[in-house]
Amino acid sequence: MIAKQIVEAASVPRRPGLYCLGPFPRRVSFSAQQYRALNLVWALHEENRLKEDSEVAVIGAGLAGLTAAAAFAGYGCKVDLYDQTSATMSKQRHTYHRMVHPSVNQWPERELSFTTELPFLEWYAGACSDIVQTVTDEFAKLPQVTFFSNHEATDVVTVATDRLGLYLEPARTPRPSYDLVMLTIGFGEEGGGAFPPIDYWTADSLESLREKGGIHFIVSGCGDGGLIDALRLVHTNLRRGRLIFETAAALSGTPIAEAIKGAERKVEVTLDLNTLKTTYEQCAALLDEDSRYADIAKSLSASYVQKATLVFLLDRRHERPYSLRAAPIHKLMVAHALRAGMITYYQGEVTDQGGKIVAGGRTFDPHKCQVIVRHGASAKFGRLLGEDEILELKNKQKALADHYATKLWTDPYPVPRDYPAHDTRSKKFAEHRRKWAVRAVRQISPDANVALTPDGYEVSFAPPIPADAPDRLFGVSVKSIITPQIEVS
Amino acid sequence: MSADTLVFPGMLLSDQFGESSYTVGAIIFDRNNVCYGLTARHVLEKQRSNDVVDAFTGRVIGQRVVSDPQWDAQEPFHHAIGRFVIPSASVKMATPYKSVVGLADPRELVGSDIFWLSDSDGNAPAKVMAVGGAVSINWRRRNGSSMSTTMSDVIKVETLSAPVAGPGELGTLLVDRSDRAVGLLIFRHGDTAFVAPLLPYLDELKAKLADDRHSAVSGVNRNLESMRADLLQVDHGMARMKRELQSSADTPGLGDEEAPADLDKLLAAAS
Repeated sequence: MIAKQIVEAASVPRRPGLYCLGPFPRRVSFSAQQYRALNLVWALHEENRLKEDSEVAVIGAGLAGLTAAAAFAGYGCKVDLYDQTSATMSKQRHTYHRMVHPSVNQWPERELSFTTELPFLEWYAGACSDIVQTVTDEFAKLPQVTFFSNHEATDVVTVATDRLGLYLEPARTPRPSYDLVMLTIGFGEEGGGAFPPIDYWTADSLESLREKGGIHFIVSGCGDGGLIDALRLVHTNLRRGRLIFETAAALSGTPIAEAIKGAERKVEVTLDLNTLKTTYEQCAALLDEDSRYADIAKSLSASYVQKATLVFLLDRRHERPYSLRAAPIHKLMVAHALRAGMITYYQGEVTDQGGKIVAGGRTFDPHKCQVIVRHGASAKFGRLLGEDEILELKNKQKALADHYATKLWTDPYPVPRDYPAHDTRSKKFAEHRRKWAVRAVRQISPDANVALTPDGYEVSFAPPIPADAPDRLFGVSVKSIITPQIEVS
Repeated sequence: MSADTLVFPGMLLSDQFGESSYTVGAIIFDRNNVCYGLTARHVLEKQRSNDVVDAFTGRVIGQRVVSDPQWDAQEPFHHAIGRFVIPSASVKMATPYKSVVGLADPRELVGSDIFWLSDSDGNAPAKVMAVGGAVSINWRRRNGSSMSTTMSDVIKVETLSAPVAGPGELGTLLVDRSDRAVGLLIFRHGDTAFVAPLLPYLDELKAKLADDRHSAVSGVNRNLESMRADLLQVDHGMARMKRELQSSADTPGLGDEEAPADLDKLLAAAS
């Protein structure tokens, strides 16, 4: 039943064979997009829309496109992947300044896992550019997928019964046609409104600007992008996001985590944002006042900037910066920063009024003020979809898209040729993932190593074993040890 | 160094001062047909001279390959195997090494038994507990200062019937049930031992285990031997100069080791 719903939500109205993964969900993250792609391809197979030798085109070589292409390959399809840029995942290839995590955005509803547990193209919590390298290297080895770079898809037309023709710029001759076309595009550029846009994925110099001093920062938007950038500005030890992961790990299983989980679940139903406000403010106070959280509070407080930097956070839609869209850990850390006086929040907009910047009733000199607009990327499909089609897709997907950001398929997910089946107890599987496991643990400690043992992985660290050492990697159980020391006389 | 010096796997070696002893675990030929003996690197590294001698006769049978600058850096160190050039020798596949056939992939050995070959221990079994692990070796350099080097991608084994550790056993070859060479013993303490795998090392070096077809390195004549000795000296000097010039060098791989690479090129050109 769920397979049918997923296929229905992704079907472009009145254009059989054309499906759209869509940029419409509320909580978009790397892993969520991968789950959506895997669920959709699985659902297409369940609904008999795929045959083993189907010819498929995937438009858009972001992480969702790569995952969908690999999934089609797993089902035995021949896949052509197109992107208008020169490389797969080109947007995030140079994102050195941000870390991404497989599950921190879903915490505490989902248990934190340091690695993804996907049938292929797995990754780990780490620097975005590093993860892109890992995923794209692996993807490039798939023989069933042909990647066409610098090709913009401009139209999809029905050319025969159950056959879609694809128009491209530059054109391919003869014009290619497919049994199925999937759009994994839609994330347009991030707008800056009246202000120069600072792309979320493009390396910026916000921390350097802060260190220089004399600049106020105005962050507009209370989604994850806005909250993370506000945290970047007030924390000196954020380490590209690592502090966020560590804080979530340290709070796992505590009354604070339980309170947040309860409040988020409740507000999903009641939509009463006052519950979130009360919960996050109380939890932030608890962090400071309850001795059980002393270490966490200490690490946060020690990380706050000492310089007189003013960070303003605004959102015109919310009285307080706790929306349902943003990840709970970001909201909690912002609540703590607000309580510590590191961030000032206003409900309102930032505007440029004749050379003066106005935000929250205050006026700023534009030469001493940096505005960061984080209102999210707009949905953009070029000439491929019309306005009415986009609207219809949005309405269909809105309710379902969040729901299918978790695993819904039935195991085992078929894997592309040369991939070991996703069996966490198999030695072959563990060995295949070990090179990624090594990269993963080196995000925690640069001299960590991963050995393969009869029981799973044995991870060795230089002493002491870090507090956030994982207990599993890619689903394989982990035993952490101190690297054996040999004394040679 | 005489042309009929006998070198064979399992042979006990030493430095010329008799300060350390170790075992030739394997004899290999690289792509230029240069012959090397392999042993535990840290033992080879800490001896004071480059000469490798037969522990019983005191004859010089080889020259240690000059270490790369990485050995002195606090970086993870990936090769726990050391090698020495055997310029001119008769290599003999002595029993029980005659039975060694090919190389084992360590990844296939997790949880299985392997065996080490030595005259004193016989075919003592050991169980592979982990592959791809790391071990940190703390040791004293020749100048007296101490250092710690982490060697990764080693095999951890549990010795099932632990024979008494004999002097000079480091470097001993271990084989699997099918008599495929697994790696060289680099450390043993109590029931735990660490083995450096041969397969990745030889793959990277593009080298092969010596076998009966290589039982005599007779193609090397005395003139070439003399030239090789001269070149080795020159090359050591070059290596020293290079290290001085590259005090902040990146961590090179095995192929970047100075002496053999240059030496091989020169020898290939000479022959």
